[in-house]
Amino acid sequence: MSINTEATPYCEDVIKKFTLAAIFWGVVGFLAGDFIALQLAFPVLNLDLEWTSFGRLRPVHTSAVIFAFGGNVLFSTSLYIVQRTSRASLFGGSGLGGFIFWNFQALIVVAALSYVLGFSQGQEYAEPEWWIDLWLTVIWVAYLIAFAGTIMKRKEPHIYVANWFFFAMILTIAMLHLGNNLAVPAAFFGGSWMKSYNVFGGVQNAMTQWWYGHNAVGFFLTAGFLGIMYYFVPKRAERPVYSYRLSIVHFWALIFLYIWAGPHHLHYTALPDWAQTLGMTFSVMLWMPSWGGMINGLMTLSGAWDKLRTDPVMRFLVSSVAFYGMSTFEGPMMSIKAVNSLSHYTDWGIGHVHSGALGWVAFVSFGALYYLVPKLWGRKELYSLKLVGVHFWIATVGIVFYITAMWISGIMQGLMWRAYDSLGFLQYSFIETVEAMRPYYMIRALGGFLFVLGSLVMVYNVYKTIKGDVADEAMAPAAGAAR
Amino acid sequence: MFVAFVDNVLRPFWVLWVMMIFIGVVFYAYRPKNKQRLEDYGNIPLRDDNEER
Repeated sequence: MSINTEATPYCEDVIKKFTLAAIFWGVVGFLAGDFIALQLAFPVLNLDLEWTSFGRLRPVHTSAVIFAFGGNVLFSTSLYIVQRTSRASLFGGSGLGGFIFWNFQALIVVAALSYVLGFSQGQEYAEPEWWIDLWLTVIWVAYLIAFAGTIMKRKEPHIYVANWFFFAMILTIAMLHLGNNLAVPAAFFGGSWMKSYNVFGGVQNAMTQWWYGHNAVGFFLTAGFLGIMYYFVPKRAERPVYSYRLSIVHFWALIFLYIWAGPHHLHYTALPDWAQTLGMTFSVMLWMPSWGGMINGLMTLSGAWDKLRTDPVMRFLVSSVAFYGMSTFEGPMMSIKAVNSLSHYTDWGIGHVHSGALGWVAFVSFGALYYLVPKLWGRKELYSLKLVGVHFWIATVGIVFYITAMWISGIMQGLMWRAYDSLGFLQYSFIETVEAMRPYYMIRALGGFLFVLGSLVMVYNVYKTIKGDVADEAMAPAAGAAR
Repeated sequence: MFVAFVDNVLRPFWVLWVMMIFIGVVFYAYRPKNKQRLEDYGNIPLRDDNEER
């Protein structure tokens, strides 16, 4: 290798901050989720306080896991990947990076406080009031500048596919955020600073909301995390992606199709029938990028399948792709109107979301974080790979408890709602369905508890790695097969 | 003129021309001539250093 005296180091201090923030908010978000799961099983845990009621804590959970955990993971990984694959240090350096970091963390705290105090726009996953939305817009534009600026000064001629996914995520989220949060603040007319009215009403509002909501899933939780997959799976497996050409088709299939899928959240509502059918058709076509991504992620391992047995970090990454395939098979199926008439509004939906969120998003994030931490802090390997294996199995058992409980509970709930007696009356009252679901709520809370426990194992492992410790078992000469 | 073209052709037939663009992408990606070049891009992450070059 030629010696280049002008080499500049990549900007990594901001990546370190985002990595630690991701782990912190992850634990907070998982805990909040398990707490509200317990509230559903044991309503006394609402504590009879308005601030801790389910309705206010639920957006705290969803925002914490999606935007605080997922967002920090995306900032951390995308800004790491874009520097490495562009062979250029971060545009704006740690100054711009620090601006994004501190503003984003402060925004998370302010948004969470506003929910607990009872302020909400009432748009799912877009709950923050208007001035918090504007603040987020400033942060997001700064992120776009840092990301696009790094790409523009790249020394690698080609823009690697992971960056395409991140770029699509950044642009689409900007568009969705602005579109769904078009609101008139009451403060402009002498009202409260914490109240606004969406410019759309009725079914237009619902359609805009689910155009936003489903594409938050499609572009934030899917496209963004596929960017993670396309970098960290090849890196950890030490082999190029199975087919770069398939990754191009995968990318464009996802981009062309996802944006139309939103109406499947509004089957059998006031939304015009043609729009419902359009949403269903495009959702079913999403099987195409689903398989494209799954094949590309899994087949990267072909010829190196033994890594699955010997490297628990690889196990996280590969299982995440398997969960991606599974939940993106389930999703289009549930968008079919006939299936949706049973599944909609039931726990099946919650089960589906969590097989994607826990199995795909969180697992690929854990894999990436376990890869990043020793790299960023200059350690040879993690404190203990064995503990990564422990984390993997605890979390996997937790997910299995969670999704199987929700499948059974959801389908039972749907069947009970549509059951008629011989005289044509509804057979069950609503409260009877709630009573029937209670045992499954307890199993779900147990699954969530295991998931939290696993994340605490990760915290310990990451802490010891940063401290520079190496577990005894890692010192021993490669008895690799045992871990 | 342009507005009329958008209203009368592009809007009603969007499925068709968007589909054509997509088929064009697939054709580009899988054209044998491009195979070597595109698959080489897959090595980009494996070539990275700890410093900007």
